[in-house]
Amino acid sequence: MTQNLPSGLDIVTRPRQVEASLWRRLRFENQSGCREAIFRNYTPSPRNSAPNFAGGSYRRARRFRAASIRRPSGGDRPLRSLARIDIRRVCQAKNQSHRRWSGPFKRSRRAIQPAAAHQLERLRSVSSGVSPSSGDYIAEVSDLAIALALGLIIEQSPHGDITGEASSINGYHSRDWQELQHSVLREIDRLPDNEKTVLQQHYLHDVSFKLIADMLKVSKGRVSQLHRAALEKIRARMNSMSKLCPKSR
Amino acid sequence: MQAINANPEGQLLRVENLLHEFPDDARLHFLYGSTLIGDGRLIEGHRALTRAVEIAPDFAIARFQLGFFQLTSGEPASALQTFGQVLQWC
Repeated sequence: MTQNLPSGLDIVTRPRQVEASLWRRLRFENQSGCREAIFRNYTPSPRNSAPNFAGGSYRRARRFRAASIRRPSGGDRPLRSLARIDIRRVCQAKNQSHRRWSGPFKRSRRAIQPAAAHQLERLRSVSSGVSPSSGDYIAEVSDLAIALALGLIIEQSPHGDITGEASSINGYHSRDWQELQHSVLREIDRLPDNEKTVLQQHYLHDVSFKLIADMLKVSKGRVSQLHRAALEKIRARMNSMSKLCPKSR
Repeated sequence: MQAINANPEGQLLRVENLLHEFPDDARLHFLYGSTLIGDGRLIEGHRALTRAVEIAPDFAIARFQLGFFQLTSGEPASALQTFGQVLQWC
């Protein structure tokens, strides 16, 4: 197993200082990007906490972990709780957030249903770019399906949680599947910041468009546009790498 | 420094009182900032070090300390700007 050794600036940075720097720049200098970086830093906490409240049951722990990924905190609770953190004691901030997030897991004893609303958001976003005047319905449906499929690839990537579907992929397909996932994730990293944020937050952290809009301080419609544009760019780049079927128009 | 190490909280209060008396003394701000950072009060420490460099731009050790702190806080651009002046003196 290869270790990811620190490189570049990571060699000298100290996590607590980096965190304090993000808080300082967000609260006192209003620098863009800091809020998102802080949210990304705290988002994994509920996923890690979920098994602790599963009563030792492995099956229940898996349901809680999946539930935390689909709905990490109950709506906009993370952003609200971040806003209340006393940044003078930022070294303790993660513990404060952990206590706030632990409440929903303790109260709930059954898995939260999949976020159908998120799926509807995605569908509306990708279908808004389809022109009905072309008359080629097969092509339009294909375009929609490919865009939604890209989203599913991202959602099931190693950064998210594979909730058991991967076990149905046999050994011959899994390597191709992983390579495809890695290719898509690499393409996401090449996107402009806002588009990258929308895809990462929505698919990897199950954040709604509304919450992403609050985070980026744009409208929900703009997030939908960014989502569609990002998927189209990834598709175009993947096409050039011959990983996907070309557009049929 | 020995007094602060022996009784951090009491001496920190003493530095704060001295700062009230001498608000434009860069050495006090530098001392205050360094102590705060050592105490884990990173945001306040950064503010104090920045103030020390603002008051005395030629205060090399304060400028170096601030630049190093910015670098280890993941602010390379700010660190370069801070170090830039020190490099000009070399």
